[in-house]
Amino acid sequence: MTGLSTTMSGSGQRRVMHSLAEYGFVVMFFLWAVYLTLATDNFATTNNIFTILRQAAIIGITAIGAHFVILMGDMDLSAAAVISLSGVVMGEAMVNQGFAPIPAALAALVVGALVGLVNGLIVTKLRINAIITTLGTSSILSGIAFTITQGKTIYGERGNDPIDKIEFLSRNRVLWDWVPVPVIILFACYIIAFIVLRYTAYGARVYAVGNNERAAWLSGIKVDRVRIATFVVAGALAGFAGIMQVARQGTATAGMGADFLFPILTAVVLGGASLRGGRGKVFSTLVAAIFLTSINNGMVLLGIDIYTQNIVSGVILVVALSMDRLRTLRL
Amino acid sequence: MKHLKLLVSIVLIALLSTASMVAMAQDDGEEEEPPELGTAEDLEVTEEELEAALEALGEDGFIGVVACTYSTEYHSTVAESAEAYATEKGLNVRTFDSEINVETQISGIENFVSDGAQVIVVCLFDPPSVQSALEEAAEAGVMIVQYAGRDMADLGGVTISVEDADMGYAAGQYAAELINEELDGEAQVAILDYPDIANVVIRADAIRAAIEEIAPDAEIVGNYLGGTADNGLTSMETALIEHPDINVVVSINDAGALGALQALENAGRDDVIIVGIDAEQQAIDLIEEDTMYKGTVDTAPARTGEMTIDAAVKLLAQAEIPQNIAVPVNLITAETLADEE
Repeated sequence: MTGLSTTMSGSGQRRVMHSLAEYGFVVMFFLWAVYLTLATDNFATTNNIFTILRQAAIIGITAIGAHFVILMGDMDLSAAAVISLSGVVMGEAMVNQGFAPIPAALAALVVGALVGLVNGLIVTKLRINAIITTLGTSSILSGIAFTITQGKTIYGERGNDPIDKIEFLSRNRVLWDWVPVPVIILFACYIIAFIVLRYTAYGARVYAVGNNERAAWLSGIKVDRVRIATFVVAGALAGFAGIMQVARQGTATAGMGADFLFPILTAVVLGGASLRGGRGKVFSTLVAAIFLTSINNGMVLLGIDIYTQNIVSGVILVVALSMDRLRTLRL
Repeated sequence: MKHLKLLVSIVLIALLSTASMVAMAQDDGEEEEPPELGTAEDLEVTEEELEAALEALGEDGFIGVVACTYSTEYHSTVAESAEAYATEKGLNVRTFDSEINVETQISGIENFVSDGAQVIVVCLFDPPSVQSALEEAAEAGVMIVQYAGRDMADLGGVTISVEDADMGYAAGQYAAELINEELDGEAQVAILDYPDIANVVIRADAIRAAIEEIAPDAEIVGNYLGGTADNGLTSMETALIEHPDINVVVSINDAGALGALQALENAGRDDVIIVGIDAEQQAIDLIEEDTMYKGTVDTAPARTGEMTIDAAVKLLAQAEIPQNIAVPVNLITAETLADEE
């Protein structure tokens, strides 16, 4: 009896540790949210929660693509540059070339997808490491974006601004005029991503390639094709995020996506996706993206000095990430 | 045990990096006093000085202007204005585009020296890499005027630059005047900052100083992250949740202020005073169209170009001038724009 109960409590402890590892950042998020609810008047208001979700949309949507790529054991560092370039293409097409919103958006999406295709082809056919490849394309894309804008901001004439036509993507509310559009789009993207990963053959192949590329190949999966498709998906999603960002800021600049790379990758890693591939839950990435956004939001609400903000967000991140190490603890 | 060690080391690394960041933050506070600055008045050229300069240049001598680049509005304006102003004064002048490339800049400087330049007016984007070329030029008797930076004082060169403190103060001062005139001196002010760049921190501090001095009853509710449109937008959305009555935004640049404008418009506000710095075209358009955007501070590129030539003339005429000279900043408002027309 004693022996049995010891074993049970041992496995119980292991289970607790394991779920702490899997959802450690959720615990941090929870504690942070409780603290903010008590310490500020405005954190737990609908207005603020929608603000956080709206702000998380760009990072969250792009992080889906990054999540897919990381599931395969690759890494896409070009996502931020794609946001900038497709944003610039969107802005340039609408403001300076007179495109209607839909053709302009298609052009921006195609640019994103094409970048993904190029990344995928280089990684699979030339066998160049994805980090090096996407770092290189990132620099090229940024150069193209600056060449298009010549370092200037793209914006329309006030009152007659073509970008106003897509502003609803950022500003409007739906469902009884309550939920902001970007929040709906964010959740819709995640639901689709979840369904794709869980219920389609493509999703199963992504996991298979990430778990063991050779085994996947031996079982007849066209590994290269899966990897290329995944880079295309990631590029198109980043392109879509670029369109959303143009709607959000009402302008386009060649550096508009630059600040997003770190939070996008952090969201995926914090969400528990393994950098070696094959393991990761897409909804955890969503929660992590929201958590990351709430860190900055909370610090502003708390009135933390701007110089101290980096320290606080660094500490929160390190603690949240170290919880992941509990996974390897054996008790 | 092994994992415990791992955890402990992660925590230690976190603590160490925190400590070093705190130390860095303290270091920032102990910067040296800036050197005494001359003003545009110190560069006023007399007839005799111009004659002396023309004589010193002779037939073959010239002033060489080495621009950082011609691909941004600021840099091309400085160089073109210097060239036009020198030509107008009858001075031989030649220009060179470094294309933001160290090698190109070095060979440009060397070529000017061997061609007989007597003064080199230069914009430096990577001072340490070009230092030896400039040292050689100085040894060959070429006088150096640096603009858009203050790195050449060691070589006896003259530097001509806009001061971040002046720009910040001008923006803060204008906002404070509007607070006094339109809001009876009372306001909730948000400052958009970008603390990663030391020079920008100087701007933000000067904005704060001006407001505290000129509109003492205004409350500065905080410094928020700006610098880019997205930062300005995100910070302002969040700041409005905690401080819905913010009615003045002063920003270290126009990009952040434009993001804040978007957030304020999204929130349905039309009663906020926004002042930025940089004189971006979009900001100028908004000021002209009588929006919430009320003012921006110009980095005065054309004036900078003229001052570099004045400094060159003074050096050629062997007149005494201060080593570091501040370019006067230029506030752009609806009134100044109307005056221009």
